[in-house]
Amino acid sequence: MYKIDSLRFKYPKNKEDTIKDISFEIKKGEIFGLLGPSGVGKSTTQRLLIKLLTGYSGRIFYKGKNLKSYNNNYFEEIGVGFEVPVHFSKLTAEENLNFFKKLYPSAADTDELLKKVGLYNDRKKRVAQYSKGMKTRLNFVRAMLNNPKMLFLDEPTNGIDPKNARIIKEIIKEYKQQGGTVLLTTHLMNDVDELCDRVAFMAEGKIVETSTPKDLKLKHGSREVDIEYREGDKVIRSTFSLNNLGDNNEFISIIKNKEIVTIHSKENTLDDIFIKVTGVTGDE
Amino acid sequence: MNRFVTLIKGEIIRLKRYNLFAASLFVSVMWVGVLHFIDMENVTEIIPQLVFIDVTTVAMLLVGVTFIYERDEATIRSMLVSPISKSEYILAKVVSNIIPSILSLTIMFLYSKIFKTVDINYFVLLGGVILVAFFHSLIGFLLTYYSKDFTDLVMAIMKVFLIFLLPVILDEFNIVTNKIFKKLVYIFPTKSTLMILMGTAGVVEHQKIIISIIYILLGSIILYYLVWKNFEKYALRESGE
Repeated sequence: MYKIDSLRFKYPKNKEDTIKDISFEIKKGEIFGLLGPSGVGKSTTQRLLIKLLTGYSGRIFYKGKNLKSYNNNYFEEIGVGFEVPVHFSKLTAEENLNFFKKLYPSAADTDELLKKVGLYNDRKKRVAQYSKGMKTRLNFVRAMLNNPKMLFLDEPTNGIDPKNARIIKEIIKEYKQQGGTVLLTTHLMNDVDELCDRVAFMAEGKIVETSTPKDLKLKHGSREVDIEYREGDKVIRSTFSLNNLGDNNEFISIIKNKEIVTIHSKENTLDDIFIKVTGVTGDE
Repeated sequence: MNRFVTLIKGEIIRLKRYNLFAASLFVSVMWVGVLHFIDMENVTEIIPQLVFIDVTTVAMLLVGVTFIYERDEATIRSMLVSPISKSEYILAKVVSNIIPSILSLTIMFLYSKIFKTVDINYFVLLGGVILVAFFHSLIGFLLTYYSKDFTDLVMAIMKVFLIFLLPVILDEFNIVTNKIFKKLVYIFPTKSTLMILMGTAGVVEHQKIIISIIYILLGSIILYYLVWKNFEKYALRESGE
């Protein structure tokens, strides 16, 4: 769907490049996660792909054609969910959506989308009366309103309660099942783990790692298993290598003879990998 | 064309919702008050003068304010990723911002027709108002590009007023009568806009009106080009950088 080749970009007022020679691909029908701490160039990369920024070097191909060769019709094929609310606050949600719908040749059933994200009953309220979470959900509906082939989502579940975050994620999965492609920019590793087919970690304007979440966990995790069992009144913890575990007599003896409290493989979480790969000590 | 109509309708709805139409109407009522209390039966020459002050300032301010709202609410981003062209966006904003000026003119004209004497062809004056509002809306656009917020915009409009409008008003009302000053004001496009409007009252020579129209038309083309050309730079800034 997209092929990004040696992309570089510098903001006019900056001395250094914000994007430093990055190359990656987004395959049709996949959910691709672009991850990294704040200020590493994730949003800039997204803005270049959605043509909000120009003046870059390198090449971006969309469906095999240089992105620069596309005119405004390109926007008929993409949907963009911004992190910040992008609505006219003194208009109702319905008025906002109806206005934007008319700018596209074809549009989705926004009533249906509003029902799915739980905003249908509030559709006639002015957006100024919406909570942050409601505005984020409305952002999501705005992104979907033109039946896009490619969806760019920036922190789509940020500030939303778990129930509604689940709904948004289910809609994203459904969208993918119907053939849609997604570029997801987020720092919420649970979302990444659940949604992304592949991820790229960015640090200091570069892509430092691209893989599937599972392969990343395997690569950065330890091939070990932690086991906790009861020995009299005490809980004992032991660690065993996963290699030839079936031949490890001590492990088998514990399994057979002891009361097991917990047992976990020691694969890293994406949070751990995020910190390790990007070199940050939390969400900066 | 449908998209352009949608954009204009959207602008008009927002002018109403954000109470900008109401503010513009309030100013119109103020002008009617001036017409009411002025000790003159024939207001033929007063109307273009009031329209001049109204259109020049209101057109600049309204474009700027709607722009600043879009910036604050980040709706400009949503616009920039929809399949509209720069020209559609700019022209829709300019065209819809002419409407309050037309409304203001109509209110003043109707009042004068009913309660005073006025010898102006409404439609000729309407043409003048459209041209002048178009020109000043584009100036408003440019001012907003370089204004960080509403206060900044008001300050910029004040500067434009002091530099380009005040000398023309001082000349028009013969407050300054210096001959060199009276010739120098012809450099200002605002003098041309005033002559176009005053021309509808039959107090300006035809030749001067034609030159003024050409001046403002050419000025509009240049301004439009500047607004269009700098739009990307503005868009970049609106993208959070």
